[in-house]
Amino acid sequence: MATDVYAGTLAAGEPAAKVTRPSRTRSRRPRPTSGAALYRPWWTPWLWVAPAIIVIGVFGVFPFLNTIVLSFTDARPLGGGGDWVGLDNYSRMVADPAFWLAVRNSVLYAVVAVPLLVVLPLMLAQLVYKKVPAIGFFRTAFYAPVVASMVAVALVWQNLVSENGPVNTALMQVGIIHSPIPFLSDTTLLLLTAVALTVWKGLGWYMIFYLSALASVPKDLYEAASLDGAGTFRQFVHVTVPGVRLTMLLVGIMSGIGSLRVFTEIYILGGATGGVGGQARTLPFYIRDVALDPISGNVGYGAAISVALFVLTIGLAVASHKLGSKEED
Amino acid sequence: MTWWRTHGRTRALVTRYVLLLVVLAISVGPLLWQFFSSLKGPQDALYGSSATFFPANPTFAAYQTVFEQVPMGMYIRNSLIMCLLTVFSQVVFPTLAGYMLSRQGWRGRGVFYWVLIISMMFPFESIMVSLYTQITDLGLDDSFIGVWLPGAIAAVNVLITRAAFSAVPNEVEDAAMLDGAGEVRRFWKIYLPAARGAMVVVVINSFIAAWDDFLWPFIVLRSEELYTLSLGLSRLASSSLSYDPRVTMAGSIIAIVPILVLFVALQRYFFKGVESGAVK
Amino acid sequence: MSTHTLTPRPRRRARTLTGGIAGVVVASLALSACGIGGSSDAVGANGKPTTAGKCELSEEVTSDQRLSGEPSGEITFQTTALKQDFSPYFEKLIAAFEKKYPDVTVKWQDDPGDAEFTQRLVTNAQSCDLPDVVNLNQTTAYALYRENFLLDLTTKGPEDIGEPFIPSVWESQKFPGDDDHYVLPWYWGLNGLQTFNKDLMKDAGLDPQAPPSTVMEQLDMASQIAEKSGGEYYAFPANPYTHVPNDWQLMNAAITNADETEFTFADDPKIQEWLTKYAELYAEGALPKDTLSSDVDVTQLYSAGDVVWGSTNASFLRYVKDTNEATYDVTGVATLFDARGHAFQDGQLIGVPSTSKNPVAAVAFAQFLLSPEWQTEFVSSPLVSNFPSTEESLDIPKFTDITGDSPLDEANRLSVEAATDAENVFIFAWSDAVQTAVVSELQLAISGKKPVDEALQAAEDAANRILEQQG
Repeated sequence: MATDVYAGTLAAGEPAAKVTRPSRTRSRRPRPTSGAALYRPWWTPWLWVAPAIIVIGVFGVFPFLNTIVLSFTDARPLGGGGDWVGLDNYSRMVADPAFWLAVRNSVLYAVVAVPLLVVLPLMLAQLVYKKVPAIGFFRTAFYAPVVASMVAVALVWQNLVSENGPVNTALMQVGIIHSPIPFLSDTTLLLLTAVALTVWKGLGWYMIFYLSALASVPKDLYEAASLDGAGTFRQFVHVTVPGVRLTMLLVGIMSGIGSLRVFTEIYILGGATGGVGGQARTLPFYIRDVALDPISGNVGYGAAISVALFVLTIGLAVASHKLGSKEED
Repeated sequence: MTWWRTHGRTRALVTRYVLLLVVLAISVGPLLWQFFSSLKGPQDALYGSSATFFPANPTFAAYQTVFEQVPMGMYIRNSLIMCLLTVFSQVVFPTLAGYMLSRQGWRGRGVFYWVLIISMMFPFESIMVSLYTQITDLGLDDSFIGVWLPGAIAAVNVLITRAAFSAVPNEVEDAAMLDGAGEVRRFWKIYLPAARGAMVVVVINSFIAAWDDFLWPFIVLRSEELYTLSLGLSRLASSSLSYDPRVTMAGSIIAIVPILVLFVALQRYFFKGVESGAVK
Repeated sequence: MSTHTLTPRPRRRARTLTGGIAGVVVASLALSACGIGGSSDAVGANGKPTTAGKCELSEEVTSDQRLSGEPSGEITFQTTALKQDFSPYFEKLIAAFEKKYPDVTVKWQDDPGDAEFTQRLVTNAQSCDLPDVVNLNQTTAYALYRENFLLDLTTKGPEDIGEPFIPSVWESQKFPGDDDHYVLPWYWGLNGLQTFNKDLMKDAGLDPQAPPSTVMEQLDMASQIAEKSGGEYYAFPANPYTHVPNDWQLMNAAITNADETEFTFADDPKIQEWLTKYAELYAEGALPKDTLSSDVDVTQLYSAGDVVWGSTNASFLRYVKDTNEATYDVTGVATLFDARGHAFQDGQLIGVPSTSKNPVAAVAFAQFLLSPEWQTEFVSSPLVSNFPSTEESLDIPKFTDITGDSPLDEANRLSVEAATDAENVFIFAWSDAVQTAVVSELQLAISGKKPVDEALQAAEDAANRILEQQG
């Protein structure tokens, strides 16, 4: 079962009792089918999954296959072209420096954003998990950025990090810096600012995944740790983190997919060119530039880059799984 | 100082609230700026050094303008229809599929799993045109069904519910089988209660997805009578001849409120996942 | 894959993978049979292809006869960003049209004209689903025209279709290398004004009564602003996005060769000088550093009193008035024509797609919409600071006697004066892709990351590559 390797990683809300037992024995060792399966005719499972498989197959997988086909053609946005060109798009892609720059930016984005999005929401969930007065208010407030409109948020962030904005002004008053930090005109800083925006918007979103996972970490483990003299930090590292490890993997994969797809944040903060000289463009940004211009767009080439993005995403998912199972050993 | 040292519990509580307030400032600060800007009168500058955080002449005029300029009632009704359709299909079908995916020992399970993963990994822009062609071929353009159908069942929700079902120990299932409980009964009595937390997450996620979605409904819907709130509000910023950021901000504040209300109502259920189910 | 077989794992994994790949390949082959690659090269009696993209055109459209018959059927009419302010106008217009042609039903929709406008239009075109009468800009009109998506109005429309329009406007509204008309001009605005903050100018030691009259003069004044402002305010936002190709056109620079088939701007000394000066301004702090690439709205900076110069478009002043009245009150308005000596027209267009199922009704509606009578009513609205495309509609009190001395009145007065000999200077080769490619390189030069001549050459090469690709 090649797939069960993944299936294990995506088990959010796994009870802690199970986590401490290496789940590898459960998922990897071939073992007799559980009792229930023996009483099931072969078609029953398909009946249960039929609606999902039809909708996802027709509207998720079919367009995906279509994109793969397009990547071997020179199709144009308004329907011109469409002739088979073999691997031309792929060889062009490999030799295209702008493509590699976009790969680098996307990977950099994921490498910075994913750890933050895995750890910070967990700490946040830990902070709001305990029932104290007004905690419902805090939980809701922390969730609010998730639903905030991107357009309005962008306006705020541009103001915040501009040369004369509050962030630079504050840092200068404290004396940490002497000239404003060019958050928006330096490529690397622009990417990091965009990561900050992603994290700010994502905190509440991933917090709720952790909240439901924290519910399954046994309380007595905390009590035991506390009796052993473990402080808050050590409790976090030795009890909380192992208890929600599988959810951390789920969040890692989800935020990884999200990071590789990031477009809006860069567009909003870096403008239509994608940063100064287009140097902060991510893969989806580059796909848009390449494929969607109605006059000079090249859908075939855009599709080839989409396939590359897909491969990169799969690679990231495998990598996070590897990382996860290593911790397990 | 001695008080501070001896009252460990109080100290922990104070620390907790200090941290809560710090995060509060970070997370809602920008939204408050937006909110207060929407309350500013025409004399209050929005930007620059003369602009203040709090409005000097607070007014709800911008909110009034929103309701005057666009048929908010109609947009909200349409959005709610879309959300109900989506939440219904996103809770029912992924739960069924997620349950079966968590059961071992049937042929095709691995393939199904890969189909889910693949469908999650493509940027929407690169499949959008293909999707739209499919929807027009089905004669579903300019209809709620056309907006709803492609996103009616999301792979991620199958995975989320699947994870919750996997957490139920096999011994529980075996015991129920000894009692003679059939598949449907086991699903209903044992598994579904165990996945309540996950299902609440699915409800919130899919409600927000339907409420906020912009590009796709915009491509599918032509008739303004079918416009959802996010499409309708884009009108506020789109007038080519007059434009007041206060009105745009008021509109986006109005759009946030229902989701926050839903969140307040549902937040305590996040904690009623596995532990409150039949596992004990 | 069930777990109860005992085959060793690795082999089963391989089988799953190969099985999956085989499935993908089979599905791809099945797919390639339909959908793509099917466009035929057949030519209709009118000498144009019988398809547009994947869409088959009707006999009515591809024949060599003019459209004829009574208008009938249902048509869709799409405007851009007008619903907010003009709903009653369009409802009245449609009712009048439906009364005149009882067999026609008009469905009106309005696109907000945001960043996704072009993409929605392309998606519609691909699915043969364009509105029957559609409000276009120059870029999208040209894109649709190139793929045969627009009806040739000269050969298919009524013979007198160009009659009501201002002759200079009508004549200039053609695509390169084609004598026929594929779009009709609608309302238009002007580029060639400057708006500036008089208080800031005085503060910088400049005379607000003598604003710059050339682009280079403006850049020189910007230098002085940098010296005097001490970083408190700036000349204008740094992103060259809004300056090209407009500034270059004003300077009469050689942007392309005569027939617009090749870009030549890298060799023009005026452009080299312009970019060198621009980069100096950026280095000496005349322009806010963080606005080099971001889409920071000039309205926002201008209303906040952070920059001296605002937009070149008169209708922008309305936004300023809404967001910061104090700045609006100290705003000065003047023309900036440089060597060109004329203002530039920036026009909205109306097209009838060749894929229309009821082209007779669509053309009739387009003519009705653009008739002098209805255009007069449109531009009479106090909200409109644009001009009509028919001569008759220019002759209304709103344009002929403007009183008052607010910045808006002043802008309107100057616009009317400039309107009489405004030129349509749109460069069709300058697509959105070219704009992005060129601006990217300019940003590199301005930020000092690339020498000016190198950046200009790279920009020209990139722009020419795009031209080549589109064939």
